[in-house]
Amino acid sequence: MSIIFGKKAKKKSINLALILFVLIFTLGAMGAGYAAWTQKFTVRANITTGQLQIKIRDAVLENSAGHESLSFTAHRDDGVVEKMEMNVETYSNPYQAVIVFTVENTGTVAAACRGLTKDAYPEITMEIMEAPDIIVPGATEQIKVKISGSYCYNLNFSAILQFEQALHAK
Amino acid sequence: MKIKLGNKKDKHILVIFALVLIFIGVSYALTNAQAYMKSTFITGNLLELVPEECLVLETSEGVWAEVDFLRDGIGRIIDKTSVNLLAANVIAGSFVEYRLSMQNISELSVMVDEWYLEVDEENDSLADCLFFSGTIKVEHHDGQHADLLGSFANISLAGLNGTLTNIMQYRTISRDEKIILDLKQQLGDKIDPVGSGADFSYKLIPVFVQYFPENKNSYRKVKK
Repeated sequence: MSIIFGKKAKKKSINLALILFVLIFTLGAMGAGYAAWTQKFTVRANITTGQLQIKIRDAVLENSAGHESLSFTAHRDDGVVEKMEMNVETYSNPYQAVIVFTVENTGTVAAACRGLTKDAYPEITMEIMEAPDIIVPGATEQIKVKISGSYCYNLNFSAILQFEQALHAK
Repeated sequence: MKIKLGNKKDKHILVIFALVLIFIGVSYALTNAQAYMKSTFITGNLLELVPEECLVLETSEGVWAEVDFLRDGIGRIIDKTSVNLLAANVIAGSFVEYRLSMQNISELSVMVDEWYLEVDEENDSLADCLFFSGTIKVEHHDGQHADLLGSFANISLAGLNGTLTNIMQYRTISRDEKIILDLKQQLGDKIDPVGSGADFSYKLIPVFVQYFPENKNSYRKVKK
């Protein structure tokens, strides 16, 4: 766009350009003002879940029956029972044994023993006889497990005590 | 395009017109800037969190929770526009209820433009397990009366920012008024995994803007 002011057009157009520049600058400043009048807040939320951690501190053979001979050994590592070894010599009679596990809740969440799983060997059955309803963090409790078996030879199997968060713990 | 101004009168009109425009622009900017500067001279903020009113209202058994502000070496709060809602040892089914109070400390009326939500994509293990309930109120400057803007229940994390935006969007927050947000953060009945412990964080960012009233249907009462 060009604007012509008669004879002194050049000088006048410089003045007008200055005025327009100020006008544009002012309107620009207003726009910047609008942009400045906003504000953000930051609401950060951090969530850390509790830890479910149970350690078997001890395993003891409480009683046994129906065998010729039986030996029981609990292998520990750093105060935690890692493995148990039980050698049973029997002939035709079914045998049984009761093992008492001493477990400690070293996590931050109340836990409960919800069952036991083992390898699928029908010769051996395992069941939980006694277990506390809840093991609060830091507490040590006992769990009794009964093992029954018929004839078998050189059988290695593994069993897992299952723990989970105790809901609605008081 | 060419505009030809042949006589002196036309030139004067143009100059006066330009000067009037400049005057309007400058006065408008100055008026608003004055209010802005007056209210933000000390802190630079339109709104601030009220630390003594930001607190943990309730937690479920065993959960540790805290509302944390950024502080300097001697414990003074150095940023009242940022807050940390902490919760530790949460388990399936547990909850924490927080209260956040934000006050308009400026001379200007403000309103919520939008709430944004940011979740770390690489660490969103609990994002689907979280549910939110709560209420939003605006407390008047007298500190005794409050308007309930809205409430919500069992909203997922993904829907939280949209819900907050919708509830607050059309309410202006005048000088000294407070926004009181009670936010209950609830975990579902199953968290996987809980055994090894997991950390999760998200960020809610409300953006406030200056409120400009529309003049279409406004009128002014004049004393005669």
